[in-house]
Amino acid sequence: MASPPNITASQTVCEEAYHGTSLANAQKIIASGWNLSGGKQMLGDGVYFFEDSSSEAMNWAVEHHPGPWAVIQARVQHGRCLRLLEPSHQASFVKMASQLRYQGVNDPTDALVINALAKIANIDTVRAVRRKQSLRSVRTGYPLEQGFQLMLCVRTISNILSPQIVVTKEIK
Amino acid sequence: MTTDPINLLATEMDALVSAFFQNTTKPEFAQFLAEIGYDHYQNVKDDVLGQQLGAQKSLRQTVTLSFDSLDGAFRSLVEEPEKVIAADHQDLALAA
Repeated sequence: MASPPNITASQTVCEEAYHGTSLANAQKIIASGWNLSGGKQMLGDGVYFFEDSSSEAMNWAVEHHPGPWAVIQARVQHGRCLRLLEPSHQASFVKMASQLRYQGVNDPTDALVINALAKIANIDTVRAVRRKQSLRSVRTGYPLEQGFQLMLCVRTISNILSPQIVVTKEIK
Repeated sequence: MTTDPINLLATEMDALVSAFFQNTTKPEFAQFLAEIGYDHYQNVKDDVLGQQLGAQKSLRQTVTLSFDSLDGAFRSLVEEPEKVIAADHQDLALAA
């Protein structure tokens, strides 16, 4: 497939992206680099970060790694970013899902739709909001809500810049 | 014509998707599905949907509980206004 012209790659850099994992895995990442995850992921294949929230990354690490854990902070260049908060990008996502259904893919997951769109359109990163199970107002009666997580899924590893371990928890 | 890079990318994505589906044969599409992890994501779909349903159920329970308590408060006000008012007075008296 011919590469599309790279006229719309964003130079925007997320200065504070946080990735929670086991301490051993964090040390391995810093020493040898990242591995693309193809696990049970809602935004498709990639390395997952919480934007601007080290505590969410810590919670993730605690919930998913019973042993020693760590949080890696990195800068992430958006590049060709699928922005699922943007209506025009949401429309492209819906169009891709419709095309897959039309081609006989029964009820494609979000991750599959993103993988398909990302492969066809050479997407580097995916930015989306995830709703946690509990939602409540930051202040009772006012519209600002807590319980949302701003996620950044990086598919092009070279867009992850200067990673460093910023928090570790040894279990004794 | 937009010059906004975000909308430009959306336009470009739409064009690439249309071109892909116009020019791809069935065997190529089957290969494409394998490359984007079709089997894997179909296998984990039940788990993902289960999590989403769990979140929706939890939210619905919260809303139902809120409505139930509101409903109870209104019913008390309609059916036993004196009792509610008396309770309010008692609260005020306690506060004083």
